[in-house]
Amino acid sequence: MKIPTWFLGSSAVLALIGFIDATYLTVEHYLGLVPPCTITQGCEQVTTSSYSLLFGIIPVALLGALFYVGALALLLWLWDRRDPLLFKLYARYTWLGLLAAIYFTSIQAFILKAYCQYCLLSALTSTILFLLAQYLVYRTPKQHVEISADSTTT
Amino acid sequence: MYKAIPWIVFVVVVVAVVGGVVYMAKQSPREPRAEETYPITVAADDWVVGPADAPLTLVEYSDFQCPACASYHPLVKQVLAEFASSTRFVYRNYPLAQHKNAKIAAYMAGAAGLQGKFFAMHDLIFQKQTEWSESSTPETLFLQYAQTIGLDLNKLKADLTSPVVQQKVDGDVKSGNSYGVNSTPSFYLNGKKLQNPAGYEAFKALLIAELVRAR
Repeated sequence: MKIPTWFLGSSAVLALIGFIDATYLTVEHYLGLVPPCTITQGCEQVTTSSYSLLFGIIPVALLGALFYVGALALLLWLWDRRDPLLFKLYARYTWLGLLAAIYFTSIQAFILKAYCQYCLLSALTSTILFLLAQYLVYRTPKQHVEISADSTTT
Repeated sequence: MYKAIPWIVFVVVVVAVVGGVVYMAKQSPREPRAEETYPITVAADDWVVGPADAPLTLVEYSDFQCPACASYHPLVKQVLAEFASSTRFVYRNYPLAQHKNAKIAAYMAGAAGLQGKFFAMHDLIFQKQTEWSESSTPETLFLQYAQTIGLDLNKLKADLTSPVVQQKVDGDVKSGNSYGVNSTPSFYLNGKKLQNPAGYEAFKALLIAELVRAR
């Protein structure tokens, strides 16, 4: 399957940015520090809210970091072998990032009414990763994705 | 063999990012979040365990239906066992609105308290949280638990609707709000709001630090 280099490159960059961002939030959490807020005002409120912890103990930032590591691994794998099924897996995987982005941004907007710029950045990177993947799905002719028995259609 | 190189690079990059972030975050000369201190005093109708003249007073605002609170329960017990002679523990209710059975659990524990068995009931309620959390008839389950600790069930049922019990719960929520409680569990050690400790060792360290400071 044709997977353009620009796609892999930009996705990898975005995933790396997201990974650094999520790792930063995770490390700050475990160090008992609050990341400095320069663009938005609610960093402390958001990162110390009960919504920032899963089951009260796992920081969601850690889950985010793991998500990005997974994305980077999948992208590396795709670079290695342009397998249409693998790409399908990756395209579906990016949904996780989108749903998380919607969920956590909604909590900031409607429940906490406070915004953490680092969290918004991650929401942005995971959303763009999703959009890029879906764009490629859309642009890929079906016959490249399905295992076609009829070789005359190519 | 060369096929492995990209993957090795990948692992190196991941480790480098984590290491780099940790290094940078530690370098950063910021103050840790300021500790908020509140003038919390123990009242006569509070549910307390431990010596009245203990150097440490640990107050917990908790919701019986909250999973995090249930996971802190054994931790608190362990800490209290180890620091029994130096810690006075106070349990206060802070039932969250989204937990449908939290209030009735709180009333049950309070009613059990009127028969001198608050903490025995509180322990059972937390231990069996998964059983009653989503039940549409939690009261029945609570009465079963109450039976195992020898409570007078009729008195218990009557006390569930007693204003003394209900007002205690409401009063706890009010005091919690004035002390900045916005999630459960919230712990206050000698009035200082704690960042929920990550485990037993962290909890113990907080108590020891305060013991030293309060000397």
